[in-house]
Amino acid sequence: MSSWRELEGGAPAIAAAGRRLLQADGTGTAFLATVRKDGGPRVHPVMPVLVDGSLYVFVVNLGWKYRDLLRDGRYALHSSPSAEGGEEFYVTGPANELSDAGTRAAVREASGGRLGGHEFEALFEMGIERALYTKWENWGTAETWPAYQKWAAG
Amino acid sequence: MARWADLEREAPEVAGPGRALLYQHGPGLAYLATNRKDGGLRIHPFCPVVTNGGIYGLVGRSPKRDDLARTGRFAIHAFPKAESDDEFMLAGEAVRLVTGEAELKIVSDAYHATGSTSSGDEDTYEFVIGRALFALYRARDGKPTWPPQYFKWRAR
Repeated sequence: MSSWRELEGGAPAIAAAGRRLLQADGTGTAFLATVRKDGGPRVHPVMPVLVDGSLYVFVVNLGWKYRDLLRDGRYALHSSPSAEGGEEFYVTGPANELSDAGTRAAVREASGGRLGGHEFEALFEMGIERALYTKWENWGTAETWPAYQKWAAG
Repeated sequence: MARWADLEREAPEVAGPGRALLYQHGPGLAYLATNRKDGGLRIHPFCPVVTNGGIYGLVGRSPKRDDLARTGRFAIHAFPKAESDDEFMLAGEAVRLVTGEAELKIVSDAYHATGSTSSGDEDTYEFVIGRALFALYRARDGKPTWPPQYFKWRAR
């Protein structure tokens, strides 16, 4: 499984934009799509955190989203609308639940203690298979068009 | 599966705040998740339009449109709200409108009336609803806002 570190090494500009747009210090909201039992998609907000070259999210272990990730770890994560508009970031890959106390403590600390303080918050590392950064040129005009930067794990 | 009008009639406590969230910025704005060919996921923003008793999307040539043409399965989530964590989500199957000039014109007119832009080469899909969810969170006052109060609806 490729991690955020591979994205940073292979496409540093995309990774930098992703870090900024995800507000990956546990203060930003992103939208996580998971695979339902019937195969269809489900979407809910999460608050991603980047620590030491890995992307993490805490997911409440009482809900469907958690069960989706345990059954079929495939996910897609999209940033919230950027403050100025005209930028998007999205990643896909496999999510894996982690039980390591040290990693959990590091992610909790990186979020300023806002996340991970309850047992019902399950920690997942989000593997990175593909990343897409979109910059809408001429944003806010009728002539806007998307410029894409893509990365895929080797 | 049901239409938006069914949701409005049977669960106004879901449809009312849901519609307000979709249109909070003027044009309809939401995330649309679809299934890739391999069953994995794709998610992108788009501009939903509620009109004519349905919820629709004009979808240009893209992998997202290919997903909808292949399976139609979707999940929609409204953009986040600035002042609270309220959520609105729909899931179901999208159906492409291929006939009915009058319906296509109604949808197109409503879409452009909100300020949404168009490339002119879009297909029009109606999002036929299987489930809907509105989550009402407590105000952000420094205390935890989770769990919210959930309002759920399923099509008969």
